[in-house]
Amino acid sequence: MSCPPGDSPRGQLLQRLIRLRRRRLFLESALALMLAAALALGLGTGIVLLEAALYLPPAWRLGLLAGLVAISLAVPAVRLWRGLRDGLSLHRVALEVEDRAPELSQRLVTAFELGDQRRESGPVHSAQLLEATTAEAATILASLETARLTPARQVHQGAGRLAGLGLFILLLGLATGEDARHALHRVLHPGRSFQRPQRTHLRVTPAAIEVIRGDDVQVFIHIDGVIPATMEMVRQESADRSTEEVVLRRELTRGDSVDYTFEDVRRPFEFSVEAGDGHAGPIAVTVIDPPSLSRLRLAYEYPEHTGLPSRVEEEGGDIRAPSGTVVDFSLAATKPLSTATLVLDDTLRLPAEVVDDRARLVWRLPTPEHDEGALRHYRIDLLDRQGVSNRDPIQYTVHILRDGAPEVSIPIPGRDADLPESQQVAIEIEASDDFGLSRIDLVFRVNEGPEERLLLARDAGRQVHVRHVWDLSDRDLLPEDRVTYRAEAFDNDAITGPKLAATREFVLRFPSLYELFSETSETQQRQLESLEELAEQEADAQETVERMRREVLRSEELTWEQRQELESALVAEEERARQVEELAREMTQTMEQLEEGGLSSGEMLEKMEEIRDLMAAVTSPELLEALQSLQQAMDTPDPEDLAEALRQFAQDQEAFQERLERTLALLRQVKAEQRLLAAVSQAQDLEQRQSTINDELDSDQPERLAAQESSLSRDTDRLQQELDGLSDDFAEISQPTAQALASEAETMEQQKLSARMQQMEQSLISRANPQARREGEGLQEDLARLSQSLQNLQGEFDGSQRQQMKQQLWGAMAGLVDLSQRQEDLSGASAELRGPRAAELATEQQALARGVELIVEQIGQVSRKTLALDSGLATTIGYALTRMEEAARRLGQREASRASREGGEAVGFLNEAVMQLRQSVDNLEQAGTPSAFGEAMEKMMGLSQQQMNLNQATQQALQDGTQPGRQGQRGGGRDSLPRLAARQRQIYRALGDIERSLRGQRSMESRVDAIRKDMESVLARMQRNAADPLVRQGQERVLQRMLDASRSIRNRGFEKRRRSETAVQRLYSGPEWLPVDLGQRPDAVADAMRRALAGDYPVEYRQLIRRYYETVYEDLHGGANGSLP
Amino acid sequence: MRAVPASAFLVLLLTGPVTAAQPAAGSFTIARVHYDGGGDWYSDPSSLPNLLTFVGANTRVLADDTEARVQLIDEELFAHPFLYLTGHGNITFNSREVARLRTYLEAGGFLHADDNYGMDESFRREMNRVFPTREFVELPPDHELFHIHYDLPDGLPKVHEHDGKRPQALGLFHEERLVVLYTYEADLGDGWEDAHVHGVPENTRQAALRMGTNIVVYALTR
Repeated sequence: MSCPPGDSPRGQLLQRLIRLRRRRLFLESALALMLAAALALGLGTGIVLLEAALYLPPAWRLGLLAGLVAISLAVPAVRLWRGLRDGLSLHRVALEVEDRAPELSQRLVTAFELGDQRRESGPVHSAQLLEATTAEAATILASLETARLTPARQVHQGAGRLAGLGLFILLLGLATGEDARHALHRVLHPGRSFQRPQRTHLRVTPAAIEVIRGDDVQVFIHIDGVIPATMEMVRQESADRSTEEVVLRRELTRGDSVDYTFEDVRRPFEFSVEAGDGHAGPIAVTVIDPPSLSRLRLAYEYPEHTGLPSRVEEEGGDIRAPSGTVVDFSLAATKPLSTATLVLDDTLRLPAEVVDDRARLVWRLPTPEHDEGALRHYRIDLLDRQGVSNRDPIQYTVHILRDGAPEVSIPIPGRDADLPESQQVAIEIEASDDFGLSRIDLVFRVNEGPEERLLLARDAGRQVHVRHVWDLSDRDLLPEDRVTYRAEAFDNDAITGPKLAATREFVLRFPSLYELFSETSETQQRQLESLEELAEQEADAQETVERMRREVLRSEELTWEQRQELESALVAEEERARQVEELAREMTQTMEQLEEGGLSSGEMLEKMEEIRDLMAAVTSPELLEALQSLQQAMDTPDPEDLAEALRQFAQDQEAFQERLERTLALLRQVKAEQRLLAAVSQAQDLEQRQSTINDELDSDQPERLAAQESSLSRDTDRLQQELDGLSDDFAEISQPTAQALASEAETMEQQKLSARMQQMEQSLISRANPQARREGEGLQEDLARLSQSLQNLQGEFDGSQRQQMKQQLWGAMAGLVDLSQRQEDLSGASAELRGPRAAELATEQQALARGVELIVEQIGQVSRKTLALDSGLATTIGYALTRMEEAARRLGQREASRASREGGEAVGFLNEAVMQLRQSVDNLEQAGTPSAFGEAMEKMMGLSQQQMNLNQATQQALQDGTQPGRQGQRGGGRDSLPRLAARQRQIYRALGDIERSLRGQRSMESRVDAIRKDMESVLARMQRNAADPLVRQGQERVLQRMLDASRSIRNRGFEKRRRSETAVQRLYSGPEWLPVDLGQRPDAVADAMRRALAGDYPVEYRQLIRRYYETVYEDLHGGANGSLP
Repeated sequence: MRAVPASAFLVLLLTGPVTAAQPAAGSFTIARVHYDGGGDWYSDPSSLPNLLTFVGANTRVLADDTEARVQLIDEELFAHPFLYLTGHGNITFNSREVARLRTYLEAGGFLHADDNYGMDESFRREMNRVFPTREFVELPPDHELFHIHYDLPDGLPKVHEHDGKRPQALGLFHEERLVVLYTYEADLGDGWEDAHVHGVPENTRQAALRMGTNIVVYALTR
């Protein structure tokens, strides 16, 4: 049976197998292609990685690529060939199908193989069976799916693997980044040469740098690739290799990154970085200038009420001005600006009007609300047209001054004080205000009374010095009354009202006489004791010196111990001399206290003053010279010189001792007289106080009166005790006076004055006025009697003392006259002397000398009680005595003519001494007249007050005269000048009276004369109606001098060192030339500042530098103690 | 601060004689320093008027015969080219005054301090605050100060005796310019006072006035 090949089962079978064979060929080809692709991808990736790692040369890349192509083609081809070689026969396909389709049950293979045998060798098997097998195989085969027979699983797997490989390579490429991409690029261009890239890659950020001059620049260096061991950064000025410098060199570690800051960049530059084979740069740094102030000009317009003129500060900055001041800021910048702003305390911003590089701003200083002393600060912010602002603008200070309160002080007296007897107190008030004072008042109250106000000055300007003699005598003050006072000054602030300043309160106390006297008496007693102690020490010192002198004469030398003793004695001598001078100065203060308290009469003060002078003269220049000579002689080896120096010193010591003792005696005498005088004053005071209390009995102040009566009682007790003590003191001076004093004390005891006063005090407290009045009148009567008795007693004592001394002086005078006559006779006899009578005359001459010595002793006794003796008396008698002793010596040597001549000279000196004694008696008689000085002082104080009032009136008149609206007013303006001139003339005449009363006191007389001359000049101007300032100035000068003179009268001889004496010119003995450095000491801080300022900096920086060094300087020199010159 | 226009006064010196009786606006005067501390800054009241009168009569300086008074903190300080300071007692400057006096002196001003006895210690102390790195140097007799107008070959005259010390003209220099003259132990001010005030002999008084004239002329021309 034959069927068409296509339609027969066998044909179908074959066709099916052929199709299966084709499919298999396709699948094998696909697998080969996928293999080729996988190889190409894998190898290509390997080559790329190799290239990336090794940077292969082109030949290698070409070889590798060729290998890649060869392998990629060869391996699939071989595999395909092997696969096709065995598998492309239909038999092979039928076997594989039989394997995959067991349901064929070998039918396919049987049909295929038997079919082929039949055709080649004819039918060997059953054709039907074969056909049935073939048909059945064809049927089964037809029912089988092709995919089952030739599965594409391998192809699918290969495709998946290929895709996975592709994905892997893609991820690898992404992971490796640029390097892989570059490597792929190079691999894809195998014939091209590529330069091997750097191993280390450097990248600097920021890439473009602009910096403001003076700022810091920070750069970051990023390092990629191979991290080398070190890195170096080089800086150079732009295009100038010579300025190249390595600014950074550092070691690197893995993963390192570097940043570097160029500090305080002022000029443009470039920098580059190198690390390994990496290099970055050069990178340019461009410098731009910020705007800055080149000039700040401040113009001040002050508020009108301050009276200050406008002012301009060309180089302004800090502001210090009163509130309301308009400050005009004109500033110039270093470049054109877009804005300029004044920033106050970082809060308030005031924009300025900008034109190009200039700006202007007007600011009115506000009124400080709280802390007027606090400083505020401002700065000026600038912004240029590129938007760059100025750097670190200076913070200037703004000190807004409030119209401050005035300042006022009372420099004189400047302390609490006791009222003087005159109850006039010189007060000086100094006041000042920043913009002017409107008035100055003296505010006071007596005890707890109401406050009163005394106008001292009006419209006094910015500073005033008021001198005022405050007379409280019309206040009827009683002892222990207190006047509390202060000065108040008001300024001229018309905006917020006058501000007030007041001094602390001072107290003027009206002390009782007893208090004053007690204080000064203690001082006097202490001085007296000091002098006594000095006199005793002096006596011991004399013994020491005399002992030394004898020792020198005996042994012609002093041992070391003796020398030490002598030196100690000399040092002590100097110390004693100094102490005496010091006591003399202290005595001046005592006198002032006595004088101010009215505890002493003018006569007594003069006595004390003379004692003070005597005390000051106790230490004579001769003593000091002798002391110096002795000190020098101790250093010489010649014993005769030493003995002579000791002798001279002993003589001066003796004189020193005599002066000391005379001073002591006088001081004791004066002290006793002083106490008596004070007792008289106290008795008068008690009477006066009792009288005042009695007069005020009807007032409504019984408590106050009772307190005063109580005080009176205490002081009466004290007076009684004082009289007892005084009686003891006077026992050695005047027995009758001592007895009278004791008697007065006893009377006081009997009258029970103190007890009655206490009784009256009780009556006052219980308001039993009639009884108090009776008691008061009785007490006043007894006190008046006591006062009168004591005055009489004091007068009697004074008279008797004076009489006694006058008698002694008259006696001395008569003795001297007699001796003078006898000396004259003796001198005449000596002139005619012939023969042996010389010895007889010599004896007579010695007797006359002894007679003079006796009179000297007699005068000496008087001199210890009075200062009325002529100051030259002792010297004159000393000369006479010397001549008489010389005459006796000459007579002993039979030199008759010389003796006669000496005797004649002695007669002359004796007669002169008689005249001086006569003058001394006159002095004694005049000693009781009232003190010219005391009176002069009081008058001068009164005139000073008048002059002060006149000055104020004149000032007012001159002010009125300068105000047009007041010209015609009655009593104002220049019309009043003639009347004022008349008052000035009265003062002038009164001053003439004072001058006459001071005749003989040359210093004071000349002072008063000078004041009168000044006053004449003022008068002349006033009489010409000259309303010029010189009148006022002249009056001020007159007043100043009058006040000075008042003090001078009181302080005669005070502090001679300070008053000074006319100098003797001296030759220059200093250096002959100026030092080269002119006294300039090294100043490290200033030098450092100058060096720092030497740079070319803007003005703001210069000021900043200066301030820095000033701060350092102030730290070094202690804040306010100084600042940098 | 503006510098004191000392040159303006130099012009006045050259403008010919002007009598003291015709004071003109802008004429020269000496400003007395009113200081704190308790010292009597106002002492010797007739001294400066007398010196100014003498200067006006014997030089070409147009001198007023009235002194000015000024505190160191006053606005008008810089209007005065010549300051005078004297007294017997303590002197104190506060820190503002110290700074202001330094500025004044460095800007061209001149200070003559005359020891009236008793101010030495405090004045030196305060000047050390003003110029901490400068010290007083003594001007020898050949210094121009003693010869610029009157020839004073023996240097500084001594008017009053105080502690028995020799008179000294001490100077403080700033940039080689004498800015402070301190006359110590001489008491020129007493010599300038009215003759009767201190009883100074006329020849001594004349010497003091001549010395004062030299100081004024020197200060205004150097």
